[in-house]
Amino acid sequence: MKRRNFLLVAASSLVAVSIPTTYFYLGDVVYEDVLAQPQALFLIWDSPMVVDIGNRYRFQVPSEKSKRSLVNLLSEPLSDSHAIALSLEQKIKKDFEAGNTVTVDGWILSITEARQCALSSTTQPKG
Amino acid sequence: MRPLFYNTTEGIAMHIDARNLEDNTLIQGDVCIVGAGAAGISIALDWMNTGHKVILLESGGFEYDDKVQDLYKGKSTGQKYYPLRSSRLSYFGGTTGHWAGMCSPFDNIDFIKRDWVPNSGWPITRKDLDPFYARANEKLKLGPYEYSLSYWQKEVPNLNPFPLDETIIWHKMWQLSQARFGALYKDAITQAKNIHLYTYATVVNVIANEQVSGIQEVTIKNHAGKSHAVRAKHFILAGGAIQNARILLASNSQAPRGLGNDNDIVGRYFMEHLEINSAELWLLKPFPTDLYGWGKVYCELAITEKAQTENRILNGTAGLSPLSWARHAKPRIETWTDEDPRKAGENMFKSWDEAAKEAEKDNQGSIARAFEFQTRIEQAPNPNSRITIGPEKDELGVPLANLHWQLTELDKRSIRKIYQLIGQQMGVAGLGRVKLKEFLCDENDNTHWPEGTNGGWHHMGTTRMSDDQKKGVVNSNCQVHGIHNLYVAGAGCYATSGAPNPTLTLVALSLRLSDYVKMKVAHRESSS
Repeated sequence: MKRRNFLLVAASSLVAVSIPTTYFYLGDVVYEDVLAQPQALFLIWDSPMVVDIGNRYRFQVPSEKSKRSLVNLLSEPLSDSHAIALSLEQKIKKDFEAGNTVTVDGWILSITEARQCALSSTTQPKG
Repeated sequence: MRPLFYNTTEGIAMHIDARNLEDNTLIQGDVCIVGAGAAGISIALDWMNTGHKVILLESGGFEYDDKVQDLYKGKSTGQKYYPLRSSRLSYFGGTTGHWAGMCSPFDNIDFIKRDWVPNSGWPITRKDLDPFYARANEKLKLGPYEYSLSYWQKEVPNLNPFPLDETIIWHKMWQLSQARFGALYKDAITQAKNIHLYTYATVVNVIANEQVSGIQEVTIKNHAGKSHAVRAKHFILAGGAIQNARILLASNSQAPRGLGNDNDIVGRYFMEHLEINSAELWLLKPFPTDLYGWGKVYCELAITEKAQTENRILNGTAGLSPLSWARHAKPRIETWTDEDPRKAGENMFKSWDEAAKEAEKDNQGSIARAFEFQTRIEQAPNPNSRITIGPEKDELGVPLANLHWQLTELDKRSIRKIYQLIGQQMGVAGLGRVKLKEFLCDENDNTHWPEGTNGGWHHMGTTRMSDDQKKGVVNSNCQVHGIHNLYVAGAGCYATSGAPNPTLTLVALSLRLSDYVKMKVAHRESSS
């Protein structure tokens, strides 16, 4: 394969992988529901609590206040929501291992799950 | 002064109520132990059948006595504390009369000089204490000298630990003693032919020789208006960390700053164990275990030496209580407020019972998997946290002891870091999430303490141990610097306070002191 062709194939593959997960258009940001669903936290919290923590996180970290920035940070190059959930779970574990944690209203959370809460708080995700 | 003689071979009961002695009686023995609590009784038992006459002096009788307990009155300033009058007991058996019985040895790191903990470091090591810990276990009627989780897992079923990174979090075990020394050892002590127990014998003064290099006698008094003298070759102060400091400071007729206090250290470095509800643990799923409850043994999460060193924090542990109960339980500092220790205890237990009733109502859903973390942590040695004596005197004429309890920023920073580490490891293990209490949330605030800042009723450090007489009151053998026959037994000798409850260690240290005095006595006998 010529270099140009290789780049085209690679680029279109990337697009093919990422489009179902996340895409942007001028109005709103569309994303997989699972990005805004901190699954572990739902075992101990209800939805209003997730939203409350999310609002607090966005207040605490203004640079991650917008839905767009949060989706950018959380996006996974995967098409299947189950695979995304697994990937996020691993990411959360790695966050804890690396000390990538944040304290929100006293809760010691992985950065990733805190962002999930924040995204959840921006609006109800599209199904 | 009328000398008192006994024929110890004829089996005369060796308990004497000092109120019944003729005034100005002179009592003589080889060793005089001042105080019949855990330390004093342990030493006395160790001298049974030795052929040496031991005088054991107890301020109270065999039962609680309000007038004697009054001698413990004092004022507190600084960090809010329990009434001094009700934070210990003054009768035969001492504070074991109401203790919870929690026993666990100090860790290796507790004895080491840590460059991030000012004034840390003992002149002895954990290894030096190990043989005495084993003996202390016997005195306290505990099981074998075994404090590893792996040992107890073979003895007790279902002690499943959280699967946490053992390089950061480990499981510290406690054994639980039922020993109330008063009931347990009354017969042994009063029937021992060479142990002479005097009740209602409160030491009010310690009298040294002219050079203040040796003690000649102590003066005892009681509410019957009697005053007696006790002469011995060796004197061991075993009245608790507050009383020991108090009597040294109050014995100031020959040494203006008090005995053993040429360097102004007696009474300083008062330490407590901070026992504070600090965080919550919310488990993602139920975790079946009996490890963290109150059973034959007890367990708390502890921070490894490596993690303490890396994070430059104090040694502390975290115990778990069901959150549904703990959120209704009032802090002990708010319920243990009565000057009468019996009423204070009743109030505390009543509040716990009320919390249990409330807990039944809301123990549904995820809260059933939620726990309160209670910190148990050493207090950094602080010279400004101290016992002093003031102008006010008790009924027997001894200046009252006052406490100024003062915490440091290191104390608070350490508590926060402990839960940050636990929170992180709970996340790594996928077990749950940790929520810090509000007082720990602001990383920049290491000075404000919550209303519920409890101590463990553990008084330590007021006659601290150091081989440098400018830095400590007693040397590594618990002998007061510069006074060849005066010793201090108990938690007052701790240079640092460790995380565990103090009794096991103070009994071990007292037995080590006992061996040392025996060695000195033997040496003196062989050389004379």
